[in-house]
Amino acid sequence: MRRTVPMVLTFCAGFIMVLDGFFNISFINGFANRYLMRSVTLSVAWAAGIGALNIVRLHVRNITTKRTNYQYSYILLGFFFFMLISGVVLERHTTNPFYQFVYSSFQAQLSAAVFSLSSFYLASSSYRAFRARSLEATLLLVAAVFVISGSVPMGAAIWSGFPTVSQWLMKYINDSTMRAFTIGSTMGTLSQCVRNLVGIERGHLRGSEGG
Amino acid sequence: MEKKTIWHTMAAVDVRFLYIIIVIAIVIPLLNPIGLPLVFLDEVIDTVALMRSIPPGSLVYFGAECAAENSAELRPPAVAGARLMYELGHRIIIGGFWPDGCILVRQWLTPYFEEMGAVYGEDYVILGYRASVTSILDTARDNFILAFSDRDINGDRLSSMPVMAGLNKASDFAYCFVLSPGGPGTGTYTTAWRATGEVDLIIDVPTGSMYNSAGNNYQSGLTAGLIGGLNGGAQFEQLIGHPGEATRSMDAQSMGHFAIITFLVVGNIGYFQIRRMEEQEKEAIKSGGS
Amino acid sequence: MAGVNVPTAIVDALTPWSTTIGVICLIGVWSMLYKENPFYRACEHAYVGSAAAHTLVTTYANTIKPGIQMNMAQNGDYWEIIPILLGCLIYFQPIRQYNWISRFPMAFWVGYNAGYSLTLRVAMPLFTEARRTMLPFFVITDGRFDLMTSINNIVFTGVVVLVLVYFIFSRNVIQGKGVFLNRWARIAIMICFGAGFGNGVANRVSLLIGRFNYVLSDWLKLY
Repeated sequence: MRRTVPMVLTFCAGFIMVLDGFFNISFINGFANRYLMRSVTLSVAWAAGIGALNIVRLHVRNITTKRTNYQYSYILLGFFFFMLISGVVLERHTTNPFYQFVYSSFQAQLSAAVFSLSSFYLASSSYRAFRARSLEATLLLVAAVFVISGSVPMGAAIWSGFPTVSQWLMKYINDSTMRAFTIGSTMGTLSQCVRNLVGIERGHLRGSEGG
Repeated sequence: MEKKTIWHTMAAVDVRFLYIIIVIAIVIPLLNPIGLPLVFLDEVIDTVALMRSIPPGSLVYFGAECAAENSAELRPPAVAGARLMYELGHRIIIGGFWPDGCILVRQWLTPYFEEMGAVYGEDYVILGYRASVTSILDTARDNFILAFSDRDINGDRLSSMPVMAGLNKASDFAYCFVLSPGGPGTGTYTTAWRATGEVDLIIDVPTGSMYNSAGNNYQSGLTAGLIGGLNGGAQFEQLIGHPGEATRSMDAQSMGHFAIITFLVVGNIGYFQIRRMEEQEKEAIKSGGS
Repeated sequence: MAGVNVPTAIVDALTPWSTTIGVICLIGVWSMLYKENPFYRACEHAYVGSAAAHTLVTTYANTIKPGIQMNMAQNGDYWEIIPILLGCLIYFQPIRQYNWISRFPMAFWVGYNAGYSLTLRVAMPLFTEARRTMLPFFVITDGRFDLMTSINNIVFTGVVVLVLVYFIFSRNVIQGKGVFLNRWARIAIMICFGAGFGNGVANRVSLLIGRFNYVLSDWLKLY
């Protein structure tokens, strides 16, 4: 029951999609489009709260057990419930002017600020970590210097060859290597999907007790 | 005791000093741009030509796949793309599968649409974020209204809007213009609509970090257009005759790039100098001992 | 259900402060660059809380609510309660005694996506890319042999084959004189990674430019 039913569910959902993809059978095509895909959309949407639920559980536990730095959990929960309640109860939800104000002032700016930290870390790693210790590492650095220089106007102003070399590296070495990566990963994806469908790969059924 | 040289001092420099350098390198050209000329790439020129070749009145899907952290790179091509689409008389359907995507694109484009006189519901519509990208794009192949539950971002009925006239399924789109900072992104539309033959023309607008794989898709013909990163955005702005944020930021981009190159070069010179000195010291100790 | 509205006067009074609040958030996050401090920690937690809530709000407003409005209330598709209940089974995941129940929706999604990928959707790009890899090695342009394009095509196809061989066949398969193939493949891969790093730099510098545009242009109105 605990493993067999999910495996049957995996097989049935996948098999219907395969039939829908390869055969022009109106019943199957109609069923897949009207019911199966719609079911995926609805079930995924209603499951969206699981991540948030885990965050709330974790921080409520932080507060109740007074773990180190538990005070910050109040801030997290405060922002979470403030945005959640204002987004759900306000008229027109995400396009409500008040929600837009909250989103633009806090969420969008915090998100952009947090990600921009990586720019500083990149600067320090460029100075302290990237070393031409071997032929391969040297090639990486040289290619990087050409691409960095070739993709901005100043590179072309210093030497008109920078954009040409950069474009050549991008078109003939980068694109071809990426092509090989894509072909390899696609074949891996396909084989993984077959393994999932026939029940050889059951990683998604792990992490639960009982069997 | 080991002798301290300038290279040792430089190797031990406080990282905050590097942060200040990168900040100065970016802020000064932002305040005083020089306006160095851009090098135009064929891929951007061809993309503009492709968009111009689509007849007026055509339906266009605008994939608002972006988040706040990508706004510096994706806002300029998004604004320029929407401007060009409206000027060409295309009807724009804006959808997105990143929670921030449609909200951000609405904030970016609304002032320009108002300035140009575009009417919401007649010239463009914003569908709003939807969870479960693959199943929705798959459903949209047969029934676009059902896939998006007949509601736009404001909760109004899509089927009553003039902009939706003639839009029954994904194949009714002339092309897709997709911002692409990762997944969902161009790859999602390629598998959902391009591979199934619904939409042949997909214009890829990746961020800098996605530009690597975007070139592969463009070369293989999976995407029909490519406008990559802030540099691509600046070229795009200039090609459509509306230089804007990206064009203005290119000098800062140049200086930022060269600051990083300087860090790479100086860091490596210092490393090799120190290593050479250490080897010389070892040699000296060895020869002294023997 | 008619929603609540915050009075326009309040929103109008708050809106001019939006950019200032954004700059305070930015300073809070960037204060981490100096050293770890409570202001940064507070901003970090505010970010996680608001991002989690925002995802829920957008999902509710644009997927769940329209679905109920159109399909159930308008079209009478009450069968949709079944997948909704199936999706809700994921909430058993934190309850140790019953968390096996959360396998059901997971199994359904994995099955759907596996089936989705096994159709032409994933295979077609593979075939297209494989076909566009087979470039002509001898290119004739305007009746004359085009040396540069021919070399470029050989490089392109050669690199694809080398890297594929490198990944598909392990070192144990290619031995002896064939090992040099691995070396060339590694060189191509490192150049590709270098280009990736170069484009990554462009991306990261753009992030900074975005923040400084916000401070200098949107907040200080310097340009």
